[in-house]
Amino acid sequence: MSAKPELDRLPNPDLLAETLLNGNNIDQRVKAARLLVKLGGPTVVDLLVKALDDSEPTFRAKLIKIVGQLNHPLRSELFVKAIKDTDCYVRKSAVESVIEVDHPQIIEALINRLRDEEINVRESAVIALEKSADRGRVVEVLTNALSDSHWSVRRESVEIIAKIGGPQAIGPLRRMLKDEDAEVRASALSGLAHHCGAEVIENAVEAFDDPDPSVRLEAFHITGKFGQPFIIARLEQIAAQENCSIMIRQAAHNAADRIRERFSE
Amino acid sequence: MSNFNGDGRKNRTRVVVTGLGVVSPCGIGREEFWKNIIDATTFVDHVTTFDTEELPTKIAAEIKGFNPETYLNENDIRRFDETAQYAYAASVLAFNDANIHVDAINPERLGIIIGSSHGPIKTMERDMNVVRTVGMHNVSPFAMANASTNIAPGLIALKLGLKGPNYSIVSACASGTHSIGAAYDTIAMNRADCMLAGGTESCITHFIFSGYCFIAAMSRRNDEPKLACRPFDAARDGFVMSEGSGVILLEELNHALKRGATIYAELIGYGASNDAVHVTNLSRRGSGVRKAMQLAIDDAGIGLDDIDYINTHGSSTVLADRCEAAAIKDLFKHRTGRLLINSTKSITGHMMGASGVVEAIVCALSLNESVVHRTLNYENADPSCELDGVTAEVVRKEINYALSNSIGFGGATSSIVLKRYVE
Repeated sequence: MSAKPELDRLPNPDLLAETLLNGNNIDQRVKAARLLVKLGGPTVVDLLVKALDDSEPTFRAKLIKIVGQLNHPLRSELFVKAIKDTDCYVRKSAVESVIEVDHPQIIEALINRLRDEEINVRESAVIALEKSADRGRVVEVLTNALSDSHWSVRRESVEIIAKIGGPQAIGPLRRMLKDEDAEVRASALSGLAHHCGAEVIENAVEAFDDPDPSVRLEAFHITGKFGQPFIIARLEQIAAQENCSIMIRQAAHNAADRIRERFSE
Repeated sequence: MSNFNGDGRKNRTRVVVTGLGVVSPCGIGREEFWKNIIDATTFVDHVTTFDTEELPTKIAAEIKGFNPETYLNENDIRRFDETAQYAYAASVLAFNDANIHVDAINPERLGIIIGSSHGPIKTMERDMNVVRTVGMHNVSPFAMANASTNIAPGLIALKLGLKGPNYSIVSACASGTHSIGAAYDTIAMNRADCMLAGGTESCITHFIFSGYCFIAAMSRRNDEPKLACRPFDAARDGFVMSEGSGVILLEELNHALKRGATIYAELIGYGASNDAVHVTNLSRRGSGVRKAMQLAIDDAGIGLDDIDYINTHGSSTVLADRCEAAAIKDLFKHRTGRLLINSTKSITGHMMGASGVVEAIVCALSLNESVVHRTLNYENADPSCELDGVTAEVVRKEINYALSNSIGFGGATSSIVLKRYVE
């Protein structure tokens, strides 16, 4: 407690270092780290490396978020260390805070995290890889992540592959139209529409029969946007099905209207 | 509105809202509460019940002016936790508002479901302190009853003489909306004629507050408390904790008509889903929120085009607002521009497990009075929320269908659809 006003008034590096390594209050230790990073100096990296060996994972997780503010060539090494931490919360925090994604050691560490035992770490690694400038490689590694056991990891991978695009993206996205999870199928359909435009219509029409309403809604939306008049009859047929949900019938009807509007313009 | 409107609910039991009770920082009772909501008068201020010196957040919306003696005797006040006291008061207010008398109806067909996120945490903290400092023998004989989350519906059923289903639902900040959904199902399945559905919370305690501070979920705008809760605004930095209770009386339509009840709105749809990808966060596109909305609309037997108004969960946290906005956008696509979208929490603060019911009360009154309140402090739209339609001003307009969303830790998501009542 008594250290707080002292830290605010005078950032004495020795006191800060002592607080960082041996303080008993996590907030004070994190604050000391922030001030040390701000002050810079030759010893700061060594201190942070030591601090990242602390026994308290909550502290390590908070600490790694501050490392991003450090302007030092060895910053990446600190991230690599934290990305490999034994605690999943620290690994997740590191993966989310990482800056130089394309640093050779960091990208390798991130790719390795796609096989992490924790879903949230794998998911965060997928999201972090979006920042890489090597688009081709990202699509390649995320294509491997499409077989992840958790739908959320697969869906994030689909969304990022769709955002990156390029010819490499089409095949994996088409494959994911058959995924067991509806969220993934809907995202794949939406991603394909984003890239292929009218060429996705065949897939969209197939999805009219998807068992999940989310996928059907997405399919009607895409069909309204890109469909040809010959699909209107099929849409009106769905809109007329009395045993079908109003939400679905209305969406099919709207898609038909939208095609008519587009072709009457 | 589409040609398909209303077709999807043939032969369904109709459930209507006939009584509204609220105990909140923005007012006690329907009239005071509603006036403050429409005027967007917020009561967020510095916490007074414990010392926040060492905490990064020092603000909350505390209830002031609640006098439990108006509703309970001295013994009950001493015995029962504030969560139960608030819920009891809100239930009495809902009963009075509905002009319903238990002796005039079958109590076996009148039930209660009250949700809460943290339950009777104040009493538990106090009693734990007694055990630690003085020992077991000084613990209150009511401690164990009081340490149960269902103490609120228990107290209400006991004192009001309800004999129908009686339980609590716990799904963090979605507890209130889940309670409404469960009560709605109970009537729809002919297990009751009337249900009190509510949410209650009294968790502005040192422990709970510290926990939310630690995960940096609450606003730190301590110098401008009334500007702190700003859902969907670019400058939002977290939620503002609040407390209180909301209770509504749901009734099977013919039961309500037979006794000449005032009908505020009709409850026509409920959806509960799941976004459990993380213990506190949602998936980036809020899949579970989207699915709950979709299920509720489907259950209502209407289409997406029919929804006029969305009362969002809109807690003002950076991530959850973004996820909810993405979910709304994913479901409603280009239609978001014609929706009215607001957040009641911008005015009340986050009433946690009570918020869903308080927001349902807002929806019922909005449908009944054709007015949608503004989202307080919504000044600059956050581009990452990608959301049109957020009301920066009060909108006076007839609305037919309102959707209300709730989101809780652990991936709990729930939505309900209310309709303007027409015979």
